[in-house]
Amino acid sequence: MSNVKLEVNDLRKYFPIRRGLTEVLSGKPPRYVRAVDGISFEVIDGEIFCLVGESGCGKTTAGRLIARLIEATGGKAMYRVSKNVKEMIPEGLLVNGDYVNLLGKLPGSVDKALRLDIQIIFQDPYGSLNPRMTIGSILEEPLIIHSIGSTKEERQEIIYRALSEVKLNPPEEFVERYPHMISGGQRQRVAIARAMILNPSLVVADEPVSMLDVSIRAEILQLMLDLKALRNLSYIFITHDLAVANYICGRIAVMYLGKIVELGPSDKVINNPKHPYTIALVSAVPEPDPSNRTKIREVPIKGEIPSAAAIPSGCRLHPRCPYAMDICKVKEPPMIEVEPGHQVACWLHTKESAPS
Amino acid sequence: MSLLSKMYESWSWIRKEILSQVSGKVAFVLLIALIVVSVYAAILMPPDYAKYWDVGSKWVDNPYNAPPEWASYLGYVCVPQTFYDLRTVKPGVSEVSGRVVFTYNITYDLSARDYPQGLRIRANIVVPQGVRNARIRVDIIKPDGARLPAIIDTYVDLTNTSLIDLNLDKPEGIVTAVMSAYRDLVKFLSVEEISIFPMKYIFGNLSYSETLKKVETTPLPGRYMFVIDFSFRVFNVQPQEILRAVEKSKEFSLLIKGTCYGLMGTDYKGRDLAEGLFYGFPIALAIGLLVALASTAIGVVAGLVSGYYGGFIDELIQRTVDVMGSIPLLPILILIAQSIAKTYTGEDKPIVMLTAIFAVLIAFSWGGLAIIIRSMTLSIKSELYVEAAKAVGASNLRIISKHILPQIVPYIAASLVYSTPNAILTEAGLSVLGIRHGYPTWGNILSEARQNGTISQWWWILPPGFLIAIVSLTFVLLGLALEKVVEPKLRR
Amino acid sequence: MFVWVCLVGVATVLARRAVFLALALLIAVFLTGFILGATGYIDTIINSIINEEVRAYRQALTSSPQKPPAEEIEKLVAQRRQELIAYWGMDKPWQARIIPMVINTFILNLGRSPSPEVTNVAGLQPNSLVSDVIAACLPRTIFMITLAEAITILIALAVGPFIVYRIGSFIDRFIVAYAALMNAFPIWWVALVMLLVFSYDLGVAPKQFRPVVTYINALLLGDLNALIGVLNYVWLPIVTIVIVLSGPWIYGVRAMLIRIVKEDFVTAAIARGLPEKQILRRYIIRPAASPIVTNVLLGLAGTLGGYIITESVFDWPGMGTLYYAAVTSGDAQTILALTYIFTLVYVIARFILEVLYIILDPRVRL
Repeated sequence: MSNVKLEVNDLRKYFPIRRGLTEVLSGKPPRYVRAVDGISFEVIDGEIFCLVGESGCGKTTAGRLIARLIEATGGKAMYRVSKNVKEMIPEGLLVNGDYVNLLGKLPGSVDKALRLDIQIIFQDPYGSLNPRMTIGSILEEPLIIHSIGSTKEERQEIIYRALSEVKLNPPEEFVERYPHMISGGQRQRVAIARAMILNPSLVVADEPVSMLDVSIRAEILQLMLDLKALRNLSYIFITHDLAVANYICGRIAVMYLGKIVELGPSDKVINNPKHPYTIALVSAVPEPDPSNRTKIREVPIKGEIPSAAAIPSGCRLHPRCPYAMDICKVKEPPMIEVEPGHQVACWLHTKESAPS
Repeated sequence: MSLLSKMYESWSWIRKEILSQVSGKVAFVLLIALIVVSVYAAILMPPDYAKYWDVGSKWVDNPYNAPPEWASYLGYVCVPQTFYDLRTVKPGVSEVSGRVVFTYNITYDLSARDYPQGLRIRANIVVPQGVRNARIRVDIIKPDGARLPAIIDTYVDLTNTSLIDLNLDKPEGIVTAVMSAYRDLVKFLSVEEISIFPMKYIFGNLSYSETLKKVETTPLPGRYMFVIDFSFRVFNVQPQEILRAVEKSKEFSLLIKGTCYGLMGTDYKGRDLAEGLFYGFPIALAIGLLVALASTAIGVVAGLVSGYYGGFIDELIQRTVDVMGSIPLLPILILIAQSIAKTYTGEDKPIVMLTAIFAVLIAFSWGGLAIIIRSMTLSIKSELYVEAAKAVGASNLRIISKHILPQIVPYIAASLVYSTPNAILTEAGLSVLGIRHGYPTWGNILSEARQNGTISQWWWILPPGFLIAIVSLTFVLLGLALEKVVEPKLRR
Repeated sequence: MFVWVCLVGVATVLARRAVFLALALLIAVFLTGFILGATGYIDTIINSIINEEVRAYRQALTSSPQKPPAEEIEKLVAQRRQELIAYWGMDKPWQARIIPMVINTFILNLGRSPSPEVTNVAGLQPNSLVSDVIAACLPRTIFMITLAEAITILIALAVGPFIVYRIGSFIDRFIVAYAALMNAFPIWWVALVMLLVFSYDLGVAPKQFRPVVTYINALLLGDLNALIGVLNYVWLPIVTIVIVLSGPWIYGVRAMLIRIVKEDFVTAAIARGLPEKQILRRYIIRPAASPIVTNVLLGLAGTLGGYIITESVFDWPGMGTLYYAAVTSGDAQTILALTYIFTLVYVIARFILEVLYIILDPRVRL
């Protein structure tokens, strides 16, 4: 287990729906949006683990839960803290020597220490940088919070290094600028620099390139890979784009309506998808081969993703699934290993017989 | 430090925006003038100003209910205040049966067709050993040749005191003096009339009116001669020695009170309104800013807490604002002020009443700002960059102070500006009604004018209101300029 | 089904509002009662009434022909005092006196006014019913303050749309400057100036305004000739209020209209070349209606309580003067009744607005 960076178990996040007065009075039970509904996965040291799915499937919520920006409803996320952070965490909270449950109630000092170790990069580089702060002060903020660098000059030095690390050169030209004075790609580099400046060992990247021009996506992805190679980093990479996932991911978890439906090494999941939903996603990826471009490919899934407030019974995909069987409507399929390291939750692949 | 520089940045931006508009420029000039005058007045303000203003002894030399001197241009007949320093006048010296007599002949030219309001002789002389008592006798020779003998003739014991203060607004000997000066009119003169209006008989032309069957007076302009005999019963003292003492005395003067006074006139106690209005500047500004700062501070904190933390406290604050907004403020304010005015008897009543009035005002005026700050906080809180700050470990306090506060600075400024005149206007409004706290504010001057004056005493009743309006105007204009900063949609 | 859900939603929202507004009403009246009691104000007033009566009683005893012996007088006086204390309830804490009074006010059992100052404002006999006193004063306030506010509003609604197309022109700048000036000058100050100029200097307006009562009473009885008399008194206060209030009112209407003129859908309408009048009517007035109606309704509702200070300056015997007389003479019954009515009118206006919002603005529907 020592090479596991993060082990997530039955992670859940339910958002309550505000009830009207009549609903309260008539005694209707409170309703929830089940954004993340019991997902489990592991992130291995130094790997890029991807969460893939349509918008609204809960992948961003999962990312935010791990970055501890929102409180989980339930589940466990055992995280192996890195050495420099470990000494800031009291013995009592450590499990198996190195692990901390990210979702438990943690004292303020531990919370702060963990923020040194786990960072997040947001999708929207236009929103994630305060328009009223200069690039310099945006990067300085984490240093001040964590008392890194005792003098202004020392912090300046760190900021310059971080900026040149994300290829914003020369750094002194950028520190005085405001976010609106630089391009979207440059902004995302600043956002990456802000995440990296605290020297984290796990970074949640929430669709970091989806809002950027196609021309610069590859550069940003390459930058992220370079940084990973340079430092001892693990990524949780969230994306809706299988092409990007294919390019960057070690392992992929495909999410649908708050659940993981398929999980495995990326080449296996993409080249040999087992779950009908994954098959549909894969077939929706634009074909890079020009000779195949004119072929009309069939996307087997119909309709739109249902609301997470009204999740279908049984297998969540069954209303849209072309292979839906009777059992799919009543019972959720378990996660089954179809080949080493490749798991699927679908009755089609479940060898054990369904209850009659 | 960083927060301060952020604030300063915001402020200099606001200032630039304000100064780019005409209303902003006017407001800025007015504001600077207001501040300069207030600071100047605050420096000059006598200690314990409230007492200074209230206690009459300082004002006895002034005419009461007198319009300002420049009122003569408006058609008012003005008799100017005339002051004679008798120390510099060389008296005729004589000795009569053991008394040393100094005779001062003072000429007074009355040019306006009105009566001076009063007379006053005051001396503060430390006499040499051996002087037993002093006697002052005043005769007046009128332009028509009539001589009023001994309108006052009084002895003062100078062994214990050096002060002589003769208020001759109603001199003792006036009836006999007039009777003896106008022998032909004696049977028509009314003793009562003379003692009620002595100045009319001193400075008037007396004639018998057939229709009214009594003596009438009309103002008599011309040259008057005041003959003041200042005599001392002495024992072995040289007259020259006494004269030196008189010349070196702290005060020895004759004052003929006019009917107009100073720049702004006087009130019913003879208080110089210019002074009251001048010292009213810092008080008004302090009142306005105090209440504005307090209600703004509460509004900001309540809005931030309500918007940032949400939940039960948010609901509580929202509903409180809601309920407070439906309760009529002015009636409650009047009731509280009046209740305290009628029941509180302590020495510090003015301060207690003012404090109560402002407390109610503050309690009722933070709601609007709180709602605005709350909605701004809500929208900023949900910004991605705030989440990003949380992700790097920023505390709530840091997010509020670094990310939210700088953005609401223009609203805070606007709220300060809008609510500053509020307290001044309300305090004045209550004063106009007649609820008096007694602290010498502009409103207090107004309330005394309403109570003890008539509306025709415009110099008393209008200027305090006008100054209040000017202060208010300053902030209204400032607000007008700020409005375009706060609400960019109004920007053209 | 959908309509039903909507109606239930609307009803819920309105019910919620009604509860909070009723709460505000409750708090306002209880707060008033609390101030009266806790500051000891009514106790002071009642004590002075008791002392006065005891003094008069002692006077009567000592000056009566069959004067009882001194001890007897002391005994009788002490007995009388005890009676009075019991009558006024001074043997109980203030809460025991105020709370029943507040509750009676709520059920509109307003009682009688013990204060001659209060009944004098209304022009009624001492110890009249509070409801009669209010009924006498309300029309006078309506004839002055409410009328003036209504005229102001009409002017603002006529001028606002006229200048909204001329933003930045001379007339617009003039109106903004005028509004700023009038925002700064309190009505009572302008009223003093107007009195000085028109009543004292020029002599074209009355100096005393109390006599208007006779004319208003006659007018209310249907004598139309009295209208001239009413106008003779009312013109100066009305002109004063209109002069002062029209500034901020016009500015307010202008601001509300500008906000909408800058909206994209208006720009689009102008781009389509629709005539100015039609744009104004269809695209500007309608969206601006709800804030304008809010201000109009709240403004008019506010006038019914009288402008206390302005009425006092003119010595106008309306609701404001009545309230002030009640406060100065410590007439708890009338103070509570008036606070109740002021708040009630305001709260009802707010509730009507809630209903109007739903009718006026299609987006507010649930």
